[in-house]
Amino acid sequence: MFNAREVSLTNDEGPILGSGWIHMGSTLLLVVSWFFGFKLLKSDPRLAGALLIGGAIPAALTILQFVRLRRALGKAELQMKEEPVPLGWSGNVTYVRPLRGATVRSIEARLQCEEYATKGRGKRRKEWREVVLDEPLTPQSAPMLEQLRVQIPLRIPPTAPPTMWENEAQIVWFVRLRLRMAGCPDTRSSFRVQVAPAVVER
Amino acid sequence: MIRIELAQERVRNGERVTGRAVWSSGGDPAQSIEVVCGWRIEGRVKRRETIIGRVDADASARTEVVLPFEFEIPIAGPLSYEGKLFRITWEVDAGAGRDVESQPFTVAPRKWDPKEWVEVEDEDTPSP
Repeated sequence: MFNAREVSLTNDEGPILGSGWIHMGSTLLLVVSWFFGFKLLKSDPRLAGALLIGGAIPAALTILQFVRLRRALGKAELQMKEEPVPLGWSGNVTYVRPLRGATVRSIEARLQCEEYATKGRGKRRKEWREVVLDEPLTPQSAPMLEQLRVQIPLRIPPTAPPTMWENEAQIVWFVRLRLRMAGCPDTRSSFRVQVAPAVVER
Repeated sequence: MIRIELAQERVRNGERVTGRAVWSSGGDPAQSIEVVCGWRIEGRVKRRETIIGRVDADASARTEVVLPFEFEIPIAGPLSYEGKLFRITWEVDAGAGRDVESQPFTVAPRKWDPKEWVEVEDEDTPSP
């Protein structure tokens, strides 16, 4: 279940492109406009052309933004010397992200512990989420060329709950970062941290 | 009448909860006496119980039975928890005929030892 070793958490779950609704909307617009565009291609080529081009613009902008972000920022990693960590643990984790031409204006980091609960199946399935712990972290970034390297002092409160997952209930710990950028769009990162059901006693 | 006497009200995951169940007939006979240990989750989730151990004893033709028990709490937990969406409660339940009794206890985190959390090859559970 758990494996204590030096790890790089590459499961960056943060949205790199912002809200998913924008991309869903642009995809839907692309599908609908292309559907009618191809239907009207023979009867009204001018209107069909406008639909095909107009409908593709939001999707093209999304792809362009994604390419810009990937080129400028690459993939993020959170490096930890050990995982899982126990309750009461304190130490540094390192956030690493390539920077190609972009600069960081500010970094906001938080440690969050969240509860998830689900009930029912199919259409009757309900989901709940509650943040049970939310603490600001103080990242310390070292200026480096071509790479962002941020040391984040982390402390898991000894009285907090450990990571837990059952069929319908979960307790999940996250390190979340919000990066305000210059030279590319702002972005966010989110990493799951495994907290073992054991406590550091001093 | 049945009652549960717990030796500890607070144990750590990986440790044992011990005690005894004492039943006296009081004129109400029972065939057997059973003690189970487990945890339940309830709240916004569907209530669910998990039993981790069970002991029983024959009570027929007897007026009093003392049944000692010892259950090992899994190292993986879960720990007792009172959250916003759900709570986890550990308890020992005893039953003899129509007599039932429950005794809750707390499972707190064990002392951290990194060696305990090293993955053992071909085993899904951590080794204590």
